[in-house]
Amino acid sequence: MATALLPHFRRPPPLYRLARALRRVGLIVLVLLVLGLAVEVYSVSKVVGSSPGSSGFSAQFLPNETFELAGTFHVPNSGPLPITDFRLHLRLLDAAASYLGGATGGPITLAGGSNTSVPIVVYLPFAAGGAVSSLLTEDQTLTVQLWANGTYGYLFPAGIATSTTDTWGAPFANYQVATAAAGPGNGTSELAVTISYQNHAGFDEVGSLDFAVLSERGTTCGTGSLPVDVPAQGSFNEQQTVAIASGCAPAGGSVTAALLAPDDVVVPLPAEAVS
Amino acid sequence: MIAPAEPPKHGYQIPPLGQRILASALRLVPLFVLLVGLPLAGLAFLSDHGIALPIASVTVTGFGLAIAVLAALRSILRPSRAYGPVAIAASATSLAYLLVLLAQATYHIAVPNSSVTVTLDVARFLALLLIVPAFGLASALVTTIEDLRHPAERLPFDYPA
Repeated sequence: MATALLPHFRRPPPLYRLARALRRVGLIVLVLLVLGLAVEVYSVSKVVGSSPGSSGFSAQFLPNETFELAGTFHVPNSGPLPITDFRLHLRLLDAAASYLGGATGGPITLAGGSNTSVPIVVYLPFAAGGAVSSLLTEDQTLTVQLWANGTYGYLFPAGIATSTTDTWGAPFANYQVATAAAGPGNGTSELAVTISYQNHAGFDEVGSLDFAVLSERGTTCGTGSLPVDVPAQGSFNEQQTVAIASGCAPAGGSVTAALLAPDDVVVPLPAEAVS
Repeated sequence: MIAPAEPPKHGYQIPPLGQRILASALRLVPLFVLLVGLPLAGLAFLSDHGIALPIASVTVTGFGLAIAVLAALRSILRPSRAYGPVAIAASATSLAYLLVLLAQATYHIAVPNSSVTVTLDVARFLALLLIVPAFGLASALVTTIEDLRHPAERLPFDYPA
């Protein structure tokens, strides 16, 4: 009697149940993906509203004939989802679009609701003849290419690239060496060497400017040293009379100089012709 | 007193063809909006703002219409043995559409009036989305096999009286 009171029910056949289960799994996946996408879109809308920035770059000389440009970027992630495998790339090009140097920050994870600082250090070796060497003596407009990439919410790898220009103040802007024959004294000839430049960089220059007068064949005719203490945006204009070794002719030769700064920093400057 | 449940007279009750066509046509409208109207409007909106995506309007229209029509046809033909093959065709078309989108899944978007370029890779999302029609395809295959081996076996459960 009890079975007669139950509703009429028959279990669906196995193939029907299998087909139904497969349909349902697909539907569940679809619902989860749509929900996930909605969360991602909401989260991205939060991130778009935030603005990253940098705390500015500082430059300094390193002992191995290299500039070091160091700065920090602040990258906010206002959305609730993390940005994983975040990398920040920076490239510097000179006015002729020659590559000067670059650096990469990361990879790091930017947690949701965080404001992360990403340090970037660019090393610019100013070996003689390289494009970077012009940074020593020429004020320039540099192109700064910056791009960042990461994976948003584990699902969407994305990147953003931008390019901007920035002015570069040369630490030895308008570097010039002028020479003039000085009157003979005690049977030896002398040469008055005047070195001048402006420090357009953002750091002070302290040390000595050691120079040598070379003959056309490269023989050292005489040497000198000038003390250097030039603040940022300051000027240097000093003269020193150098005794020229007998038998050495500086005419047609050149004057080479290098800044010797603390911490074994040596900054070779371009050779200038003896006028 | 509790009355005993009446057993179905024929085991199932299939809606008339006209009713199925009407219901499918009504369902076609939101499907068309979702698969064709909204994507085309989105592409047009982005294009008006100087942002071009590598997806052709004809691709969106073609695949969107095909999927919507096949879905409607599947619904109309559900009581017949043609349901399985049509469902296979609908799922296969969806898979093909997603694969076409997957081949162009990296978007490079130049933000107008700025030097900013945004790159977005939706490949992972589309790859996960492939699961949906893949399961639909498997389900349609099973239903086709069921219809071949036991015709009308599923009808009492699809259309209970």
